[in-house]
Amino acid sequence: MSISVQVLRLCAVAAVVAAVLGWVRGLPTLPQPAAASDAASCHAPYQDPVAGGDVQWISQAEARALVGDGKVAFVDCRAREQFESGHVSGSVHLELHGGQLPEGLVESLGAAATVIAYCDAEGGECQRSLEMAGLLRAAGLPDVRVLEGGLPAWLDRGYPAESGACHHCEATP
Amino acid sequence: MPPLRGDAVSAAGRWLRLLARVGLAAMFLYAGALKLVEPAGLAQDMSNYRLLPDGLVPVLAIGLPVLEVVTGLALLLASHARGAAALSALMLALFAVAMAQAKLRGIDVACGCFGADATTQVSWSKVALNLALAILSIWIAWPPRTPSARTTAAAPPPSAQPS
Repeated sequence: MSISVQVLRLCAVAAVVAAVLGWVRGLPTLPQPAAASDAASCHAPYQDPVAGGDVQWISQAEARALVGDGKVAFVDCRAREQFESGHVSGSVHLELHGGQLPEGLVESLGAAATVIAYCDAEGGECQRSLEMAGLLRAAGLPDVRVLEGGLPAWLDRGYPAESGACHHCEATP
Repeated sequence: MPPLRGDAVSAAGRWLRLLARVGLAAMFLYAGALKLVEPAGLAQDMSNYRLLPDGLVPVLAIGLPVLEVVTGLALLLASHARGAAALSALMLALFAVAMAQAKLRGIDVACGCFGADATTQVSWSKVALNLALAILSIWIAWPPRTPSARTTAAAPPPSAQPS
C-alpha cells in the first residue's frame, strides 16, 4: 500500500472519530473577545473625576515602542483569568478591590517612570483601566497613561503578548 | 566481507527505525490523550497562537488530538507505519512553523504541546526539537536505500503490534 493511501486512510479514520467525539461531547468554546467597534471607541476623551483630568491616553504604536523599557510598567486591569489567557508581554496584573488600590501597589510601581494601564475595552469605555489610572495618578505616580483601544487592538496588531500563570498574583491578591 | 557488513548496517537501520517508531508512537499517544482530556484548554492555547480563525479552533481542538492518537496507534502497525510517519512529519513541521511564527511575532505563548500546561512556553529549542522529530519521521517514512536494502527490499520490516 502506498504512503498516500495510508495517509488518506488514517485521516479518514481520524475524521470519523473526531466527528463522533465532537457530536457526543460537543465542541469546546472560546471566551468571546470584545468587539472591534468597542475597542475603537476607546479613543473617546476622558475627564477623570479623581485625578482632575490628568490621565493621558497613549497610542498603540507609542506603547509598543515602550515594551521592554525598564522604566515603563504595563498594568493589566482585567480579571486574573483573562490576564492568564493572554496579556501584553511583561505586564503585571493588578485589579481594583472595591474601588481601592491593592496595598503596597504604589510602592511596587514607584520605580516606574511611566505606567500604562489597559483593559479589554469592554463596553467601549476602557472603564477599568481609567479607574485604575485615576487612582494611581491620585496616589502620586507622575506619569500614568491609558492604552487606546485596550488589549483587543493590541492583539489585532500582533504586538508582543504572552500567556501563562500569574506568578505575582499570590503576593498582591 | 562487504555483503555481511551491508546486512549488519541494514539490520541496525531497521531496528533503529522500529525504536524510533515506538518512541514517536508513545509521544503521540501521550500528547493526544492529554489534549483530549481538556479540549477547552487546548482550544484556548491554539487561539493564543493567533494563527487560526476563531471558527476553526474548536474543530481543530477535537480533530488534532484524535489525529495524534490515530497516528500514534498506526505507527505501531506495520501495515500503516510509513503513512503514519508521513503524517507525523507533516504535523511536527506544522507545529514548528506555528511556534516559530509566534516567536517571530513576539507572542510568548503557552506551548499546549502536552495538554493545557501553562508553564511550558514556546521556545526556539522546542521549534528545533519538533524539526528534529519531523526529520526522524521522514527517515521512517522514506528510509534511505542502502545497497543491501535494495537486494532485500522485499523482506518485511519488523512489526511492532501493540500487545
